[in-house]
Amino acid sequence: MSLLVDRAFTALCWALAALGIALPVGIVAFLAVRGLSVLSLGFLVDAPAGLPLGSGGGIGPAILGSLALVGIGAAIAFPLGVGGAIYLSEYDPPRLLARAARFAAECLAAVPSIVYGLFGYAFLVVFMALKVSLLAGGLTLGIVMLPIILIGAQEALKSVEASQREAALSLGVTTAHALRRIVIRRAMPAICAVTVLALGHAFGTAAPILFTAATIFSRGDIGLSTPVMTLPTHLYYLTGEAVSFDHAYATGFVIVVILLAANFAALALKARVGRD
Amino acid sequence: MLVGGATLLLIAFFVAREAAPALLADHGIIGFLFTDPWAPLADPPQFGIRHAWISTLLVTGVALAISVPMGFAIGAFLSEIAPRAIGSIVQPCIDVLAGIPSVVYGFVAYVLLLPWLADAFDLSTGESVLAASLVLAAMVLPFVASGSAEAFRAVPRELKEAAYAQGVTRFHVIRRVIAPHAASGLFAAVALGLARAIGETLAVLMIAGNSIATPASLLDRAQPITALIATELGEAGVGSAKYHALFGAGLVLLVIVAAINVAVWSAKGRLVAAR
Amino acid sequence: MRTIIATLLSLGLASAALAAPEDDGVIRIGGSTTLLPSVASIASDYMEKFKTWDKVDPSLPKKDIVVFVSGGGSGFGVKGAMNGTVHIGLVSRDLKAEEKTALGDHKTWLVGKDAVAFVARKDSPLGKTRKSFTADQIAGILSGEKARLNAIDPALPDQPLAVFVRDSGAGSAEIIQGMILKNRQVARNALQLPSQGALLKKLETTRNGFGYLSSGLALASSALTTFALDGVAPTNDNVINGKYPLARPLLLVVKGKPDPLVSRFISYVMAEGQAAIAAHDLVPTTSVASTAR
Repeated sequence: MSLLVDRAFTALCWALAALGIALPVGIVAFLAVRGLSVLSLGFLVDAPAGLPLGSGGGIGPAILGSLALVGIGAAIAFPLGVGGAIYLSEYDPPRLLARAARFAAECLAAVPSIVYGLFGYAFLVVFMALKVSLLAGGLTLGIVMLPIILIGAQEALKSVEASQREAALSLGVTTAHALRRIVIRRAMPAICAVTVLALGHAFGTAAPILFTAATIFSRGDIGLSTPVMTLPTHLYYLTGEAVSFDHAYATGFVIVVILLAANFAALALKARVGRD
Repeated sequence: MLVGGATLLLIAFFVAREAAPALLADHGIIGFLFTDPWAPLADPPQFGIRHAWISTLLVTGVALAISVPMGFAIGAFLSEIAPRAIGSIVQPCIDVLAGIPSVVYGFVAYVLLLPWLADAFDLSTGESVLAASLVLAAMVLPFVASGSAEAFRAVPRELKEAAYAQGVTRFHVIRRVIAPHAASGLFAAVALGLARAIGETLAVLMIAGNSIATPASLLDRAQPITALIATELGEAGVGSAKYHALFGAGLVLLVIVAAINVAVWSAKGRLVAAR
Repeated sequence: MRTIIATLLSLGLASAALAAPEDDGVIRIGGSTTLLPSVASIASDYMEKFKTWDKVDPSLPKKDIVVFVSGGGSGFGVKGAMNGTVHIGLVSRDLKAEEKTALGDHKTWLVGKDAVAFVARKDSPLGKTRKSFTADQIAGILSGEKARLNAIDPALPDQPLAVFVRDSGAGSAEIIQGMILKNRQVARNALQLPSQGALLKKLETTRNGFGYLSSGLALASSALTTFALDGVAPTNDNVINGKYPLARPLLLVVKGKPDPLVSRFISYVMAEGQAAIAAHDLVPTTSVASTAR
């Protein structure tokens, strides 16, 4: 009887694992197949066109906008996040402060994306009068990415420390400063992996930027104070307005491909860590 | 780090401050949360969010009911059952699933799931709690799966080997020995999935039906808190009653998320002490 | 891999650096989703045609023309114009008294007219059998009091009806609330769609659906049929001569005195842009006998 249960459980697990493979592969394939008719170099570069707008032309400005937003976000989140993690991990801060900071970071990481949008809108767009702009959106995304990078970097540093610290000490490294440098260098690939994942996450979110940076249509002129088109909001627009499902499939496919690339990069980085 | 902590406080404070007028208004917190309907065009306009948090609860609950058992099973698979080669295929696939953005899930569900549901259940249109729950389950699954795989792996090998050596079935070992030891990790994995489900915006906005009704069944339409905010924020003038109400809704979300984190931390702390 | 991050960072910062300084040459427009497709199209043509402001008028600076258009509903259009989020607010209903007061000194331009029509699929039971409704009957359907087909008309089968509406910030929603529903509220389980385009798509693809829609979109759709309201059909003629009660103005709203760039663009909309308005199935101002705004 017990053996039967075990067999059933094992079969179930295999089936679910198969689902775990089929689902993502299926989604990507589905988008690719339906969107292929629209994909072309022109699609990736041109601005939206057609009647209604978006049923022709391309998504060039959206790709630019997304990259710019994520770039600004990273410019803020990376130094703050990694710096904060280094401080927490290497400079031996008071225990309570460290735990509080970690708790705050975990809470921030779990905050719903729309609340970031709410906050970004009220605080950055209206209160600080940044208007709906690349800057406001970029800052909001920076706040979104910060906790992810902070926690990830902290974990990376922690996992290096244990094994390498002993080795370094035994080799005669005496100053805390030199030790820190070695540890940080060792952890860098893992930190970069986490950053890439955070970038991917920020790249795909729409809620934080719907009210802080997004516009329906742009020709690609970008400035810190102008709103931008982004891939996720463009997909939302194409779907909601039922403008063009062909273009929607293609847009979805482009988003997924970029994220797959990010995932792949993160994997490659993680593999680097293993090798050391 | 200081910035991180400061940011959290700033966000919380700002949201609370903007939400205050809604909570202190006419019917107070009780009215806002429990009795008032959401009727901005009524005379006088009302901004209760009862339908929203009940929607959130229902949609999230069903999504977890589906994805948690599946996630645990996949986690057990990755940690105990799968041969190395298979595991190295499944794990990245799970990671991809986790990386697909909300709007893409919403779009795929919109074109595939909704028509299917409308046909299957003879509805006029497929938007429903069920649709939203299914999509959420797919989005939450990878987090629960990865988290539980990690938790299972963290159980000391000696313990596992000793158990296996007893000659009982693998299922028995997983159920009776490994899982209890991984409990706090499993709890954390579920909490992560829960937080993700509660905070989901775009997908539910496109799939749940966006109705201001309080859903009573799986086939009813709903409007979780996140969708409510996304729908109404654009039109809410800064400083208006609706604006404050939406911040109140945001505050509710913040409180729930913080509560979940507190629960996870205390669970981890408690179990560590118990050892 | 550090190079990837470095590249992204510099890309972000570079594109920010390429920035057009502040808001020079940039116009922000937002609001009604009824006007969104046509105005976005006009904006695109404008940018394509002139490229820089000095080509529009030699007295203007040689700066790139950049126009951003977004949706959000008439409510957002008004609020946006009020607090400076947009230069031009798109509104598809009359401005309320309190809005006019809050705007203070402002100007409006009538770019066209439209009506709110009641629609369903041509091949649905409702579409096949009914041609007209009274206002009270429609209020009953929209408020959910009559949620099944046979409640509306005993001759129809006992099937549920899905009601599609715009969210509360929309011009059409406010018109419906004020003129049809009055004291009643929209059905709790009606689906709120974020734009006219979404509404159109939903109504076209749902077997047993009913809702209100911009008459322009409704008349142009081959899948939908419109219902006469108290005997008056929502044709363009009835919109122009005022017989159809749910006609609404399509407005551009600007707070204070519009700056030269905004004025130029608006003149274009009112002249060459009218063709686009018509192409998007709205009634252009040039067709409207009396404008007087």
